[in-house]
Amino acid sequence: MQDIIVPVTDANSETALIAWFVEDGANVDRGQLIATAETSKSVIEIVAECGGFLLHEVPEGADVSIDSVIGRVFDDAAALEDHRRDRAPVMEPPSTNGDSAVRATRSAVELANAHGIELASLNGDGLLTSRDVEAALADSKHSQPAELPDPLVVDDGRRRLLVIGAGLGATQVIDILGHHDDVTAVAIVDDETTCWGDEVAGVPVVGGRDRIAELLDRGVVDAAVISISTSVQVRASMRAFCDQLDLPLANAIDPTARIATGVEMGLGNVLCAFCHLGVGAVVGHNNFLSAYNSFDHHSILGSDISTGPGCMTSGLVTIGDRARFGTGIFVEPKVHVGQDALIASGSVLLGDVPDGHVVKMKAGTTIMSPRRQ
Amino acid sequence: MTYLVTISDAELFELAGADLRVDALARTAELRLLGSPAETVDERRYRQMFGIRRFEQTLLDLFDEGLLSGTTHCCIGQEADAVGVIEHLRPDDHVFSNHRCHGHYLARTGDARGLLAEIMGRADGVCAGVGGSQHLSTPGFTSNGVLGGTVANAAGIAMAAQLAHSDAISVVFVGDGALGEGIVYETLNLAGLWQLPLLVVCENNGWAQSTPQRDNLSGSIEDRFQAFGFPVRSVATTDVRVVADIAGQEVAATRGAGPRALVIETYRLCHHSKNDDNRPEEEVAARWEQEPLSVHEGRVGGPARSRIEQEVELAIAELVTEFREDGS
Amino acid sequence: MIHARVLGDALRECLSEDPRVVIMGEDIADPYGGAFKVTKGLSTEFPDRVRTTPISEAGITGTAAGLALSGYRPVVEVMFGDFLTLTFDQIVNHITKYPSMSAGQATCPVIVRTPMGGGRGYGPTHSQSLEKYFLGIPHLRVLAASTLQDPLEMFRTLLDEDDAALVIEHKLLYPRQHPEDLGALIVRRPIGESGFPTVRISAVPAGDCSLTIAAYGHTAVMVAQLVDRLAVEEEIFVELVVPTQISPLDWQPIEESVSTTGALLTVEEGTRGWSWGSEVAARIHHSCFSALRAPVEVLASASDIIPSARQLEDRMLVGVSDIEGAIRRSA
Repeated sequence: MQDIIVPVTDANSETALIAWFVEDGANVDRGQLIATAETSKSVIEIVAECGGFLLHEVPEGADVSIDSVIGRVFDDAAALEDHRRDRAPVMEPPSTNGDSAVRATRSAVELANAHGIELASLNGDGLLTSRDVEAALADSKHSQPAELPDPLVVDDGRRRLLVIGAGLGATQVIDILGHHDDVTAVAIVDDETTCWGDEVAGVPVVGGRDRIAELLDRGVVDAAVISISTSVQVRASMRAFCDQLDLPLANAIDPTARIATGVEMGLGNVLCAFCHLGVGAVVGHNNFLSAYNSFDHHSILGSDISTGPGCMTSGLVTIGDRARFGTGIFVEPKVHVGQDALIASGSVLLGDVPDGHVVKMKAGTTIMSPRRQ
Repeated sequence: MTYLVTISDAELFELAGADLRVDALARTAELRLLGSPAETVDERRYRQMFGIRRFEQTLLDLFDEGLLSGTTHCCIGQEADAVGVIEHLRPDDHVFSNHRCHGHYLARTGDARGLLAEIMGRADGVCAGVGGSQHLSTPGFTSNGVLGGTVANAAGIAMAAQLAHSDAISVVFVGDGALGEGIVYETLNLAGLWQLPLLVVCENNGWAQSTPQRDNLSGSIEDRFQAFGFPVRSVATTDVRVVADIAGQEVAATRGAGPRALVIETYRLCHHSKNDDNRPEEEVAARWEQEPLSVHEGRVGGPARSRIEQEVELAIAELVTEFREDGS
Repeated sequence: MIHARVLGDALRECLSEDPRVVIMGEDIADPYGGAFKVTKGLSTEFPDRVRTTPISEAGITGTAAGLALSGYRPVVEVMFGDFLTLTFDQIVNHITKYPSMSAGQATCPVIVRTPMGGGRGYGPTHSQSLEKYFLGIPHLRVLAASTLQDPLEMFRTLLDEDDAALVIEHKLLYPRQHPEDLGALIVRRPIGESGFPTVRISAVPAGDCSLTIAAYGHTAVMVAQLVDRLAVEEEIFVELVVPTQISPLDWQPIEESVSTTGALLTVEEGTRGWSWGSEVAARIHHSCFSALRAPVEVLASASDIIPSARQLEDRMLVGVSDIEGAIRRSA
């Protein structure tokens, strides 16, 4: 056996970078170039001083000190293998990033361990992240028909309302209902399984829409309010679903709302704080009107409309079914906004919007930069 | 050098037809500047030197008229070098020139039309007006206005000939001023080491722009080449016959062989570029006595000389008239 | 195989395929085979066309220009990128000028290769990354080789075209395994054959990344290691965009990435200011203004010389911890 040592030719250098020219375990001839050691301006060539089988003691690219043993040459392959078995694991094992069955982020591993989820059981092509684990958690909740809570029980004669949608809209609706003595929210349904069993403002999420029929049969709810404001399509489809089940919709109107003389209003509408419906206004069913909306005299709203805060119309405006308004929109008198129109925040409507059209505002530029302390 | 067959302008127009009139004009300009085999060697040399002289004087006139912009470097007084060296070159040889390149270009190509168009910034210029006076490129000829680096470029062209086992040579014209550039000596070393077929022609006119040689050159020019093992020939002359004799020998000796240097002591009678001549008037005046045309004119008979001069003047005048009309 | 040998094999392949290829440089012939052994063996196989030269960077480059004007395909090795300054006149006033100032009549396709970069303790004049002085020179391609790209593909494309090119390599990459082991990282290369591909690397799909990092050469390789570690350890997801050609730059991959991630960090080893990153930032601020959440961050080395002492050098050059810090600030 012959040790291979980095020759000292460069007094200025303490270390050298090794590049192997012959594979680990290969047969080499005497005088053959087996590696280079880059020290300073020069690269030193290292040749085999005898023939035999080469063992790398340091990996490619290792930065080793001058004079250290970087490899050995053995007379036969068996001697090399013996040595390899005996020696301590000097070389770092190669990174097995791609080889192991599962790769996951640290927080994914922690989350999985906390919930007793087997990472290997998750589907995922690349790196598993905490999001993947959360999704799996949601699935597993769904698949286990865990004990779903029942609606709150009230027997004081108040109407018992079912809130549809457990998102932030539900908190608004429950807040509004809290200001009324004759109604109370007793249950929430939502098709998103991850929230089943949770509570929103003390009201339990009792399951998805599949559970509504059961609740009706048991006579534990009297009417429903749809709290979803982000999608007018979902609002519309949930209303149709309730109609099929003969579940009536109820209006949820904040006490600060001002409803003028002669207003006609359908059912299932949510009117948030400080809304104003002008004289003679007509409002259909199931609209979600956010805070500080004002629809002035003789305006006509269809059904399943959703608005952001601060939408103002002049008088005699008409708004079609399923129109969706952003935040802070002004509408001139007599303007007609068609069905399924989408109006971007900040728009000022001077003229009619046809059915199914989008109104975008030419956005003013908002510049964001870090604050100087 | 290949010479075009002499035919009259009338015949040429007839052959070319009306559509090709421009091309025909270009060719007649070439003929009238380069001369033909029917002429004696002395007549042809006179024609070429006179052509270069009148071309450059015309340029200076056009500058004065405001028809040209930028700058230009004339070789008035040095015409014998261009003509005497280049007449020995073959089409596959290459000439590398510098900022003072009109004489070399005209002796190499006879393309007065392309050059004037180039300097006037016309799209039909030899480099579409991009290169201008100092930066010309055509097969077998390149020039660059940055000094010294061209010697290395010429060495590369010589190396290409060597790699291709051709006996073509690469000729580079440098002034004595360019010898201050370090890359020249890097290149002399390389060319000597690799025995490249490179002929360095040093036109030593004694002045680097406005600085006399005594203020910018140490030691001797010849020694610089000799230090790198170049055989050096040195001659102080404005006589085209003398230049041509020596250059012929040097060109032949360079073919298929290693590098050589030819140092020609000469004189620039015009300013460096324009309006930048501070040399003593009497020094310049004395040199006018030895300018190449008067040294050579006695060897060409009177009638032949006036015929040549008329043809050249006409060729140049036609170009100027045509371009002037285009421009107006 | 190590990067130096992959580069050497690519050059060998070019010499075999294309009789116009001539390689010149200081100390490149056998038995020495070049200061970093890239050309080892080549002068033995191609003695006419692989030439060791005197120490004359300007002269060699100028001679290469002449060869290129005559139809050859010279490849000049400049031993250290620091010495590139000696070739500057040839590159700016000769090589890139001849084709343009002759209105296309001449071509001068010289390739200059050189190792840049520090990290080896070679001191102020043998460690620099000077490519920024060559960026934006009209009619010059500047390319950065690395273990993330195939140099043969790059050289072949250059040989198919007539442009002059400066290819920068990095000393720290020479002994590194090529191709780079990117483990399970997602690597996207452009569809179709491009000799100068822009490679995009991320731990999760680009749509889930919150920062784009633009880097090249050895710096890009450093960042690639971080992309994986920060994703696994902290769920910081970034997309690394690695152009092969850094000037002129194909903006589209960076712009596409930034419009998804909303933030950009550029990293380079050269000194800060008036740099590659400055130019990228200027462009991206303009073209991706509405997509950006925050100003582009440009990370480069200190504007100073590179000290010889390793610990001083480490402090001055952009390192992994600097990059990590910048990612945390921006992602």
